[in-house]
Order: sequence, then C-alpha cells, then structure tokens
Amino acid sequence: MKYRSLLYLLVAALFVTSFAVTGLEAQDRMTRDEWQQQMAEFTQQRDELRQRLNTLESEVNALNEQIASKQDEYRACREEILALVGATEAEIRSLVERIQQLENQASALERLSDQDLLQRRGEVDEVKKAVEDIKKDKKSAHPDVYDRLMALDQRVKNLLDRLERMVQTYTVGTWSRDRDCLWNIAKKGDIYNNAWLWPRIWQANRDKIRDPDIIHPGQRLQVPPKGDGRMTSDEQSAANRYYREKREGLR
Amino acid sequence: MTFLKKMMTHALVIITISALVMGCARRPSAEEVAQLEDLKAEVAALEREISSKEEEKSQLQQQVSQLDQDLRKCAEDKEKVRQRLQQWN
Repeated sequence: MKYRSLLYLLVAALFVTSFAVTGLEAQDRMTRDEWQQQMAEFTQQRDELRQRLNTLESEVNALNEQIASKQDEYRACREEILALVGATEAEIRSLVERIQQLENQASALERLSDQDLLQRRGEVDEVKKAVEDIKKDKKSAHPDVYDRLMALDQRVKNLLDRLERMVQTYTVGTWSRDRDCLWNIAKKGDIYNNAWLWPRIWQANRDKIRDPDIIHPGQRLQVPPKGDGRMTSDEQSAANRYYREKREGLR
Repeated sequence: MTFLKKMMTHALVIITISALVMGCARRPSAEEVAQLEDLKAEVAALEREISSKEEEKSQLQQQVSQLDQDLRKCAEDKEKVRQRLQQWN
C-alpha cells in the first residue's frame, strides 16, 4: 500500500515536471529545423546586404571622382577670369579690401546731418575720386569687384545729389544795379539774412573767388545752407585771415 | 506484490517514454547557436554601414549639385567680364 502510494506520487510528479520544463524551454530552445531555416534566411540577407554595400561604395567613389573633377573645372574657370582682367587672386583681394574701406567711409558720410555733410564735402570728393580711379582699372571688371564698385558708385552719386540739393545758387548781378558783393549777398533775406556769414559763400566758391572783394557779374555762386547761423572754424579762420590782411594793408 | 511490480513496470515505461519525448528532439549545438548569433550580428552591422554610406552618398550628391551651380555662375561671370572688357576697349 505504501509502495503504491509512493509510486503514484512519483509518476504524478514526473508528469507535472515534464510538462513544466517543456513549456519553459519551448520558448527559447529552437529545434534544429528552425535553426537551419534562420541560418538560411540570415545568410541570404547578409549576401544581399554585402552586394548593396559594394554598389554603394562604387557610387560613393564615383561621386568623389566627379567632385574632384568639378572642383578642378571651377578652379580653371576662376583662373580664366583672372587672366581676362590681368590680375592675380591677391590683387583682387586687395582691391576688395580697398572697396570695403571706401564703403565704410561712405556709410559714415551717409549718417551725417546735412550741415556736417556739407562741411565734410571734401571727403565725399575723395571717395568719389577713389571710386573713379578704381573704375579706370581693368581689374574692376572682375565679378568679385564689379558689382560692389557699381553699388558704391551709386552711393557716392546719392551723397553728391544730397549735397547738390542743399546748396542754393546765386547769380551775381552788377554792382551798379544790384550792389552785389559777398557782404550784401549774405545780408539778403532769402540767403542768410546775416551779412557776417559772407565767408561761408566765399569758402564754398574758392574755385571761383580768389579775392573775396572781387566777384563778377554772371558768376554762379554756390550758397550752402545757413544751418544754425554760426560760422564753422574754417570759415572763421578764413574771415580772421582776411581782416588781418586788410588791417596790415596786404589787401 | 504482483500488482506492485506491474505498477512499477508501468511507471518505468512512462518515465522512459517521457524522457525520450523530451530528450530526443533534435536541437542545434551551442556552437551552432553561436554561429547563428554571429550571423545576425553581421547582418545588423551591415545594415548600419549601409545606412552610413547612404548618408555619405546623399551629402556627396548635394556637393555635386552645389558645384554645378558654382560652375554655371562662373561661366556667366566669365561672359559678363568679356562683355565689360569689350566696352572698355
């Protein structure tokens, strides 16, 4: 009896254990057939991927060669342009730097008030001359230079237009009819309404008026704006020099 | 006793059959399983390499397009320079 019970217990335990172990191992222990199938699938996948990789490497190599060839072509094109304008790369760089300096000067002048710009008219003329000199140089036809130079040229023209708009002109009449001298012109209501500002007219017309005591009928004089009605230091110096020379009898 | 003997014999048969069912199914060896794992790893590495190469190819194609653009512009610039120099003369 005892043996029978023990036996039944043993058999039951064996069955339970075998089902449990089989259930667990079934999840992570593949059969040989499954292994072979997976080996075949992954082998095929690997071979296809290797082929794909080889193709890609060939394509990448071809692209690298294409890039090298196009870079050479581009360099040759740039060299041809330099040869056309008769310049080296360094000369063009130097020219671009010079234009940059002039652009900075133009920017500074553009920011000035009308009165200050008028006083610094000389600088506008300097920039204009520098631009004209560069335009005379064949190198200015280079693409790195040309467009910037033309844009700068336009900015200088705009500054000159602005100066032009500021300045009135006055045509000198005769002494007998108009009593036109610098003093009387400055005194006129539509000019400065202030005779003491006559040096301003003189300084603005130094190319036409050597001696402020002598002006001629028909002369077209530039009349700068009145501004705040005070003479600039240059105008004051010119006036002081004139009066001193008058006192000393040099005039 | 006879009954017991019979029962023990039955049990022995059952145990033997169970062992045969569990132990005799064919399975790959440890080396073969390792071989499959290596193959899977190789496939994964190839996929990563291909992805990287495709990225490289795409960047190179962009570079080629940019160079084509630069070449067209250079050719246009060259022609403009010729025209400017003609006006110069």
